[in-house]
Amino acid sequence: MDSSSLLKLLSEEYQERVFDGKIITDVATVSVNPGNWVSICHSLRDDKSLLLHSISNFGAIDFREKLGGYQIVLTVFSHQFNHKITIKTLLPAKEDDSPIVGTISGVWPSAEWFEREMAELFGIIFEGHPDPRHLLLDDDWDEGYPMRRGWSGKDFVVKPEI
Amino acid sequence: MAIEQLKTEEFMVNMGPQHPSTHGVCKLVIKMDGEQIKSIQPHVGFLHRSIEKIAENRTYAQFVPYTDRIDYCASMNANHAYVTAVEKMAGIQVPERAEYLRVMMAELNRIASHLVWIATFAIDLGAVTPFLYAFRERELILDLFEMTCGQRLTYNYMCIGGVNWDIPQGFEPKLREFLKIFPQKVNEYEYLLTNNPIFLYRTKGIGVLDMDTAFAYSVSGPSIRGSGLKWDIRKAEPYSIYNKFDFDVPVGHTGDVWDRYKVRLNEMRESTKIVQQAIEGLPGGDTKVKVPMTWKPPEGEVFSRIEAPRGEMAYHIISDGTPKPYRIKIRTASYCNLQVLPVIAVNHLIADLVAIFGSLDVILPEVDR
Repeated sequence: MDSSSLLKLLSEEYQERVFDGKIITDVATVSVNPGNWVSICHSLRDDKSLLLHSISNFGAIDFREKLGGYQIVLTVFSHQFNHKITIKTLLPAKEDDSPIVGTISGVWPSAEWFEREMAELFGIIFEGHPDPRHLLLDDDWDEGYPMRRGWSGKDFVVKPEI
Repeated sequence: MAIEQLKTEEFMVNMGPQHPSTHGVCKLVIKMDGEQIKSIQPHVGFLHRSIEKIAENRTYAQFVPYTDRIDYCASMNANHAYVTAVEKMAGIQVPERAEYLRVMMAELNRIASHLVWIATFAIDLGAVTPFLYAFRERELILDLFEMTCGQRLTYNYMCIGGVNWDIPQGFEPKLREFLKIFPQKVNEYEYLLTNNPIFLYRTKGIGVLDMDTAFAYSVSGPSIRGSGLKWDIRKAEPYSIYNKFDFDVPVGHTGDVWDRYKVRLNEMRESTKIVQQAIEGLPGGDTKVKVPMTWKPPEGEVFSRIEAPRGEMAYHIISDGTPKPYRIKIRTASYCNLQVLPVIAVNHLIADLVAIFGSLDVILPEVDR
């Protein structure tokens, strides 16, 4: 399915839950509310007309200044139909808040490590995660969340502007 | 005393961080029942350099050399993934000669990467000779790369808007000679391994990855093709100029270690075909378009992916209109492929774990970034 018909299908079938549908460099992109995050992932995976059964990318962006929170972006795709979609949700957060969202590691098991990584680097809490240990950082890391904008650590030097 | 009365208990084994079969630094905490694996917990992050954080502090052009370090066995492909993403976002049209050179280098690097894999994989299973054979041919490819860009491992060859250097004089005859001898060399590796009874015993029916597990864990690249799925991003969503070349996508049948081995061997043959076609059709002209040093891409975002030797390598780039990227999220193949290891290695013997881990071709700097 091409991106525009995919977008049409998404905004018709899931119109109560998705909004702000657009095509960003040929990928159909929709937004959902954090409360619907897990349920929409479940529905999309189980939709027989979409067959979105693999994760392509899953990451977080610190948009506290611009949008007032962290955005988590998930790209899933189908091998059979050769199409992919991106789902976004904005988790509102102020200064040092750690926003909470449900885990989708029960939907796609490979999300487990992506979520562990986001939890340690951004401080997002994934509720119900089966293994909430650190993934990349030391177990006794205590210098905060390095991927947040404006973070500074002991050995981290910001390059001067050119 | 009867055998039933003997007390048995499960025990833990630490494999790594430095173990020859982990090819990098990865610790596997294995729960064992005798020789049998009950569960595995991979511990990664020993090579974490926070490349994504570094990216927020560099300009787009300055970040290219860092992409080399994501997958040092296939730096060309890692370069390719990044530059295609940036060009897609900014709508930069790359000269045709540069596209041909990119594909040529990427495919040569795919062969080199698979050669490293076959060498280390065979050595893990106790076969030392293929290691020497494979590194002999890899040397020829590294010589070609060295002629072109002066580097043997981290090339920094591709740049935003094209490639940094044109191929030098004497490159073409050397490449043609390599292409002439290489298919026979692949036969040679096959002669050593494919039907070797010990090799078959170690690999046939071991570590079977079924399709549903592969989908659920987002396995990609030769590892999923070994399970019989004809999925290759070069064919499914052709990037660069891959739609101009005629090549096949090799697949396996059962998804065991032997199938994954066979897929990679055949992939080397297919890559040779692509390089052959690229050198035959190499057009003249410029090798790059001018992109200013402090170049600002338009505000926006892009998602772009390519087929690296280990599978899908994707970039999600967010631009805020400044010379530095706002955020770069890198998805690498090994990150997902390693997650499936505990699932497929359970109930195997510990000696088979080495074969299964090797067959997934995980490279740790790619996992840790």
